[in-house]
Amino acid sequence: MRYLKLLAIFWQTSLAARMEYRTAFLLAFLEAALEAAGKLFGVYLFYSNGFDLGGWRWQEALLVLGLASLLDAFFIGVFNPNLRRISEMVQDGTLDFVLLKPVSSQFWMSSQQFAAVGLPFLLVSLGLIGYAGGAAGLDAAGWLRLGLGAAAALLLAYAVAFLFATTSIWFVKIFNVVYFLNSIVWTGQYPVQAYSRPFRLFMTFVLPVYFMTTAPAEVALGRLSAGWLLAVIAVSLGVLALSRAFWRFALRYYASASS
Amino acid sequence: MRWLLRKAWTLVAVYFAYMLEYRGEIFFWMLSGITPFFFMSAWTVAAGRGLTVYGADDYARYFFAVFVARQLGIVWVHWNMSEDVRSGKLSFRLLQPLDPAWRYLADHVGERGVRLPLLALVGLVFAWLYPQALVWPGPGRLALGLLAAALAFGVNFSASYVVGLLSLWLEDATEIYNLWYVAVLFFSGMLAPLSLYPEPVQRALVWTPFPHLVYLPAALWSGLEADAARGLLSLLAWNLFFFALGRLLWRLGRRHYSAMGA
Amino acid sequence: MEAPAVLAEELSKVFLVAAKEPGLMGTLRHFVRRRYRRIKAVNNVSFEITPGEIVGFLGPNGAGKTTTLKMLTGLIYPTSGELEVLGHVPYRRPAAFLKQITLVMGNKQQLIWDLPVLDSLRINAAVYEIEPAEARRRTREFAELLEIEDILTQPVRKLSLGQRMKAELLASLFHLPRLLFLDEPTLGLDVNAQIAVRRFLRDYRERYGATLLLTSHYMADIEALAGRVLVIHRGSLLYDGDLEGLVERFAPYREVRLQLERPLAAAELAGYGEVEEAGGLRARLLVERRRLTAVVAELLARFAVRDLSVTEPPLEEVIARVFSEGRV
Repeated sequence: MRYLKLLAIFWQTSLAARMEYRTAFLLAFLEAALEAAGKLFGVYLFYSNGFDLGGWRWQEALLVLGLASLLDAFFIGVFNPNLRRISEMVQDGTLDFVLLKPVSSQFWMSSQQFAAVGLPFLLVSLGLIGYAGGAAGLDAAGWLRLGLGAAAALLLAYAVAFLFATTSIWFVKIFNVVYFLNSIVWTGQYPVQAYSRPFRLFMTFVLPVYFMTTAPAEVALGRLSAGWLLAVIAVSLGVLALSRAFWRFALRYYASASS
Repeated sequence: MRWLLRKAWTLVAVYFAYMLEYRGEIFFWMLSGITPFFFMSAWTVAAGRGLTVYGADDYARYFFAVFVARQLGIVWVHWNMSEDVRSGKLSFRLLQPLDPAWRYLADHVGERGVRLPLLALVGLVFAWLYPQALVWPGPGRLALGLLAAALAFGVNFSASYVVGLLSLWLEDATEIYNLWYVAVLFFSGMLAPLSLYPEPVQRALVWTPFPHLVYLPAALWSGLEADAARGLLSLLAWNLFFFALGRLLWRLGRRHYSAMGA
Repeated sequence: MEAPAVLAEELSKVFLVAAKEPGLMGTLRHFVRRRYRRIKAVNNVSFEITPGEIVGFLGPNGAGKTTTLKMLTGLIYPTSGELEVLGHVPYRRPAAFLKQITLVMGNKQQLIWDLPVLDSLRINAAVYEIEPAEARRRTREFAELLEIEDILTQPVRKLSLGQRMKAELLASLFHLPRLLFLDEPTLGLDVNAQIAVRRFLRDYRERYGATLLLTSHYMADIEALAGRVLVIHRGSLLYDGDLEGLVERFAPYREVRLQLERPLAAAELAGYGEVEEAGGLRARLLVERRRLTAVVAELLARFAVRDLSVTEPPLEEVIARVFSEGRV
C-alpha cells in the first residue's frame, strides 16, 4: 500500500511538471493518431497485396498490433523516462540519494517518472485492441485471457528493459539501450509467424518479443491452450526475478565504483 | 578562406573525439535502427509465396539500402538546441563569433566518423548472411544515391534545426520533431518499397520531402525504379525551404531568448 | 576623452513568467488557462564604465545583476533603453564585438565535459582565429599563471571544481578580450582557489589593460579587485561610487572598544556615542565617524584607559543593511 501511495505521489508530481509543456501534450495526441494510422497502413500493405501475415486473419493481426502499441505506450509513458534516468543518476551520483531511502531502489528507479505524452498512445492502443478483439469475436473468457496475457507481457517488457538499463552501472553512457528495446518491440507489431525462421527464433529465445505480443494474442484467440497462458506468466515472472537479482548484483559494483 | 577551413576542420576533429567517447551509445543507437531487416524478413516470406512483384533478393537488397540510408540521415540537432536553451548553454555559444548552427553541424559530421566504421561492420555481417543480395549498382547509381543521401541529411538537419529553434518559444519542442519523425517512419519507404504503396498515396507523397529521404537513395542503390532527377530537385528545394525558415526563426528567436538559468 | 567601455541609459528588461498554484487542481487550471505575470528584472538602470576600470556589481539574488550582464554581452535583448558596449550595440552580436568581450559564469561551464581542456581550447583558437603558435604561447602563459599546466590533458569531468573554474577562465580569456564580464567567478571555490582566481584576474588586467565588471557574493572578491561598485536591488540602481563611499553612506559608525583601569557607568559614556556595553572593566560604544578622532582623544584624556581599539563594521554587514533597508 505504501508503494501505491508513493506511485500516486510520484506520478502526480511528474504530471504537474509535464503539464507545463502544454503544446507537447496536445501534439502527442496528433502523433499517437498518426503513428497508429501508419502502423495500420503497414499491415494493410500486406493484406492489400493479397498476402496475410503468417496465416493470421486481418482482425487477428490487428490484435497483435494493438498489443505492440500498448507496450509502446508504456515505453513512452513510463519505461523510457525512468530507465533513462538510471544512467543519468549513475553519472551524476544522485543514485546515492535513492539508495539512502527506505524503499526498494528498483521500485523507485522504475516508477518515479510518468510522461503524460504516453496517455494518448495508451488510449489509441486500447481502442485498437478493443476493435480488433471485438472483430475477432473474443468471448468473455477470451477477453480475460487477453487481459492476463497483456499484463504478463507488460511485466516482461519492463523486466527486460530494466535488465538492459541496469548495465548502465558499468557502462555509464548507454541509455540508448532503451531505444534499442523500443525498436525491438516495434518488430512485435506483426505476428512472429510472418517472419522467416531465424528471425522467429531470435524473437522467441533471444529477445522474447514473441511472449510480449504474439503469444498473448494467440492465447486470447484460443490458438494456444490455456496452459500456455501459465507459461507466458511464468516467463514474465522469471525474467522479473532475474532483473531484481541482477539489479542487486549490479549495485555492489556501484558502491565500489563510485568515489 | 583559410580560417574557414581551419574552423571547419578543428570543429569536426574535436567533435569526432567527443563522439568517440560515446561509441557504445552510437552502437546501440545503430542497433535500434535494424527494424528494416525485420520488414525485410516479412516481405521475403511474402515473396517466397510468390505474392509480390519483387523477388526475395530484391527485398534483401532494398531493405539493407534502407538501413544504410537511414543511418546516414540520422540527426538530433533539435535535441542539442533545446538542451542548450534549457540549460542556458546557448549563452556560451552566443558569446562566440560563430553561429551555433555550425557547431551542431560539426557535432553531426564528427559523429558520422564514428558511425561509418560501425556501419561497415553491420554491412559485413549482412554480406556474410545474404551474399546473393549484394549487387554492384554501378558508379552512376552509387554516386546519385550518395548525393541523394547527402541532400536528405541536409533536409533532416535543417528541419530538425527549425524544430530546435522553436524551443526558444515553446517549453518543449521535441514532440513536434516526433511528428516529423513518425511521418518519415511511414512515408519514406521503411515499411515497404514505396512502389508497393497504393497509387493515390504515392501521388500525394511526391509533394512532401518524405519519399526522397530514404526511398530515393535506397532505390538508387538497390536497383528499384526511381525518378532521380525529380527526387534530387525536390530535396534541393526542401533544403532551401528549411534553411530559409531556419534563418528567419533564428532572427526572431534570438529576441525571445531569455537565457534562462545562465 | 576616451569613449566609454560601457554606456547604459535607462536600461530595462521585463520578463513574462507563468504563475501556477500548487497541487493537482492548480496544475489542471494552469493547463487550461495560463496566467502570466510581468516581472521587471531590470528597471531604468543607467551607468557608464570607462576603459580600464574594475567595477564590482553588488546585489542580492534576483536583483537583476545577471540579467544586466546578459544584456551587456548581447545574449538577450533589452526591453527598452540605450546600450552601447565598446562602441557596438551588443544584441546585434557583430564578430568585432564578440572578439573583444568575454563572460565567465561561475555556475556554468563551456568546456566540453568528456574531453581534455586542450580540445576545447583548440576550438576556441579556431573560432577566434588565433594562429597555432600564438595559441600555444597563450596556453602556456595562462596555464602557468593559473597553475594548471599539468591538468590540461585530462578530461574535464575528472577535474576538481577549482581546477575546472581555472580552466574555464583560461578558455574564456584565450582570445584576450578587452572587456571582461564575470558572474560569480569564485562561486563554491575554497579560499586558496578564490585567491588564485583574484590574483589571475589582477595579473591579466595589468598585462592587457582590460576592463572588468564582476559580480560576487564574496565581498573579499570585490574588496580585492573593484575600485568602484554598482549596487542594484530589485532591478534598480541604488548606488554608484567607490567602496569607501558605500561604507561611509550606510555605516557611518565605528565601534570603539575600551579596556579600563576601573569600572565605568554607562551614563558617563553616554555623551560620546551609542553605548553597547558598559559597567565593568570593558566598554563598547558606537561613535559617529566624523566625530571619531575628537571622541577618542577625549576618552583617552578623561578616563584611565588601559587599551583602546577602533574597528570598522564588517563589509558583509554593511551590504546586508543596504539590502534590508532597500533604499539609499
